[in-house]
Amino acid sequence: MNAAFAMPHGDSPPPDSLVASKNPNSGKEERRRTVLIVDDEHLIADTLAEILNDSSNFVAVALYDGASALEWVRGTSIDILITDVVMPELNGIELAKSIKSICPKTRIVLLSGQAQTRDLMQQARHEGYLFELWPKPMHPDDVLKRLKQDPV
Amino acid sequence: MSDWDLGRSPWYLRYGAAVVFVMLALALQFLPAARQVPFAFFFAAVALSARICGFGAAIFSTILSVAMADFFLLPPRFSFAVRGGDQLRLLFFALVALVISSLAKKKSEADKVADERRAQLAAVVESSEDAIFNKTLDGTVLTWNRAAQEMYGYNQEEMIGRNVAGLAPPEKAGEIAGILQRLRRGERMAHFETERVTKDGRRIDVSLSISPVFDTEGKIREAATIARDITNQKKAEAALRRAEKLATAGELGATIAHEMNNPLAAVTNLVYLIRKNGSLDDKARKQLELLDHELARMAHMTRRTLGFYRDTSSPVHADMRQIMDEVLEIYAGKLQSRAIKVQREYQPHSEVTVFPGEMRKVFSNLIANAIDAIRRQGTITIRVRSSHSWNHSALPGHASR
Repeated sequence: MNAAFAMPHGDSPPPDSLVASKNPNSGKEERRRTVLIVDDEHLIADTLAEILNDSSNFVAVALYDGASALEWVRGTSIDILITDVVMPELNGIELAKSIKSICPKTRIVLLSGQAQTRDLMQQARHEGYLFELWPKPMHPDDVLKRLKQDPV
Repeated sequence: MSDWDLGRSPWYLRYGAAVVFVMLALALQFLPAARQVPFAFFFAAVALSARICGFGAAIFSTILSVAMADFFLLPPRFSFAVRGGDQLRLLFFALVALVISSLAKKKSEADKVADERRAQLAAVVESSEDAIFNKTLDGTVLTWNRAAQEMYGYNQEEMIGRNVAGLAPPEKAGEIAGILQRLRRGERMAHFETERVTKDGRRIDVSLSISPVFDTEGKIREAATIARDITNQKKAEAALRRAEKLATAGELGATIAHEMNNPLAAVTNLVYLIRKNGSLDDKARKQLELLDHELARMAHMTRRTLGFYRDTSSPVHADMRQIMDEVLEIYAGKLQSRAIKVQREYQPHSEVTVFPGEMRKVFSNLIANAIDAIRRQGTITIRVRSSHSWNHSALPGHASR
């Protein structure tokens, strides 16, 4: 599988399963939420995954194309999908729709700095999909803050 | 010839005049010198009647002349009796008089038609929206219509007899000489676009159609110019070009912003990760904080640039004040460098359903124009208020020095 695991920083061991990992730093039985990050720009996906893994609230995996992401989701369920919109082959919105059908509870966040995104979003909304659209670039502090909040 | 034409006067005037002519001829016929030519003055009376009073009056004066000549001049005098030889002479006179009458009638009709046609042509020239004037081949103005007066500001008295070279701006002084030279060669010029200066010193863009006018012998004696003021058309074209340029610049900016967003996102993430690294000293931490701040500025800029281009396919609810502020932010640097102040007079409740990108383009154009108009130092007042009347809200602001 064409996937790169972004390992959590520090002493915490890599999670053997993304589904059942627990936050080792908190005494409570709070589950770290699993995040799948998809961006054809490797560096963006990798660094964002590292940031999320560092935060102790999330366990993140970075992938670089829609097909790999779909394959991943078939094997493992995820809590949150953060995907770039404009990507070669499968775009973020199509990917989000497919993942929504496989795993309906997944929170979907689309990242985009592109002009045509709003129209694509509107089209998706007409089809009954409500996705979050975040601007790109977004400061990591804001990303973490928003991910900890409930979707608007 | 209308001064000497009773053709449309009441019948008694026309026939009265015919009687007067015949009586005058009779009186002149009594002069001793006229004895030899008994009908000479009657011919003149008939011709005059035909020319001035019309065909009917000419026939009437012919009959009257015959009667007068018979009664007063031909022996036996003071009697209508006529001797054999005189009968022929009277008949000959009557025939010639009839021919004169009909010739005079034809001539006056032809004159009338020509006059009418000339008047029609003059009316067309006079009522034309295009400036029309004639000039000699050395450029001396011969005729000057109403539209020419309005367009150039000079009236007929000021222009007729003057040279058209005075209408060209100083840097185009040679142009008129060139035009006249081409005219002398018989060339015509259609839709020649150039600049002219009006009486009050305004520059106008004109489209000239100039053609030589040939006389009956086929020689070029003068030239006719039709000039159209295309200043507004030129302005509109320039505005369109400018808008297109702005749109292109907006698209280009948006493309660059797109391209920048990805590396920017990666760098922002990297800086965040480095800042989290515990092994940094205070100085490095401080510098990274500055770096982070600058990156945020860059992100802000790319988002603004995209705002110009990025738009929805259907109108959305937007606050005009916010849109205006965003546009002003783009021009902040330009405004500052030209010492132009911006006075915002915003009223609340300025939400409208619009295409924000399109509105940004409109406001951007208006503000760019205002900045250009002021050049240096001044104030741009921008009012945003809700109105349902198009007349009052045609322009959102105005510029003042």
